[in-house]
Amino acid sequence: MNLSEIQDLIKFVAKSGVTEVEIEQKDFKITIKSENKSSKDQQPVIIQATAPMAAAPVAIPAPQIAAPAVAAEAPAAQKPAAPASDESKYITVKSPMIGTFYRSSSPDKDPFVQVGSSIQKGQAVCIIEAMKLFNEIEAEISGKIVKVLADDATPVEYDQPLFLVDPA
Amino acid sequence: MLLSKLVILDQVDSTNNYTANLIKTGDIQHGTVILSYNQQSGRGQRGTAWSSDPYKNIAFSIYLKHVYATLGNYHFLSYAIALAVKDLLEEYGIAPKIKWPNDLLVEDKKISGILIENQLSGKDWISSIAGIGINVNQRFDSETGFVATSMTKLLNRELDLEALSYQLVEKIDRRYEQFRKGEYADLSREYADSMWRIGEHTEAEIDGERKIVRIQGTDENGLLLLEIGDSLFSFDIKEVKFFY
Repeated sequence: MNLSEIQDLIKFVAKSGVTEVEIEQKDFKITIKSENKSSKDQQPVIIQATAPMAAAPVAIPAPQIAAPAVAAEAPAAQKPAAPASDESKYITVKSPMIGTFYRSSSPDKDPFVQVGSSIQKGQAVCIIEAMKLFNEIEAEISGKIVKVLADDATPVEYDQPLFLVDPA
Repeated sequence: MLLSKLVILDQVDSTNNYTANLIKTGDIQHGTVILSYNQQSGRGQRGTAWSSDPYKNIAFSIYLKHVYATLGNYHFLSYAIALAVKDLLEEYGIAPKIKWPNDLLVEDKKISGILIENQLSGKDWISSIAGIGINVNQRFDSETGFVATSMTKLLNRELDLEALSYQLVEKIDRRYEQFRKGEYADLSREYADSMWRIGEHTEAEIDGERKIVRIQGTDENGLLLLEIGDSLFSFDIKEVKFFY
């Protein structure tokens, strides 16, 4: 980035009222912060210009709770011991919309969750796609996935059960 | 103004992925824009890639945190973003059509793609990442040139990526305001007016069968509304394929 580009950027920052601009390049990082948002005439102040900077971070997949085949079978093994009525304590995660159910963020990625996975409130458990809108469904509760109730890449209806969760 | 923070990356796999990771770390606020002219593996519809030469095009993602937004209205955000890109191109004398749901075509060739990812907790619509890719200074070989176009190809001059990006922010700002205020009727009308092949008879593949259909617009849920014979039917993206 040369000086005139930086000047253009500063002009844009001043004009737009944006409070913070960050630019990351291979050997260079610049952060421009506007001190006072209310005064649009005021020139923003460059508070940081460091080098070198690590390359832009690559996407890190969502932290997955490892769920090897053995773990996936563990709940099934426990099942005979637990009476059928025990399922009542489980909470069903339902589809908030009509769409296509996906268990992973893209075809080449691991599923968000497997049977036996521990999940935290706010953690993504699946994607429902409709109208090319990708809807990442976050868990409303923490717990453990007991059952996956819909098949990957298949259509789901509104309120259709997707997962059975044993709440923590 | 909508824009609260702008991050320009020299290189990124996908600006949407980068934004999604910021959500996970919590280091993000409403109106954060992630911008790169060198996106390595942009994503289109699930599993499809959006590739481009380095420093020729814009990859842009904006994070929108919703307040009082209803999930039933989420297609209007898709309309708003598509109209914002259309507004931008029109300012340069380019008149694109919106191929439902949100691809922008000029003379049946793709100039821009949009990918919106929503974050939901149960039935609550928490936030969205709106990702926009625009072919700006991209040149094509004869094969890709058959399906894609760029601003430079249409205007026969190189464009300033920075200036375009800042203008895009302004266009989104205006359209997002319409969405936020609930001006859905206006958004729907403008969207319908901009739709690719609206009112025209065209060939489509439905359930593996080729049929002549007429694109009538969208239904109240945002699905594509087609007239087949004397009846109207709603379709989602995987259920219908067009030829162009």
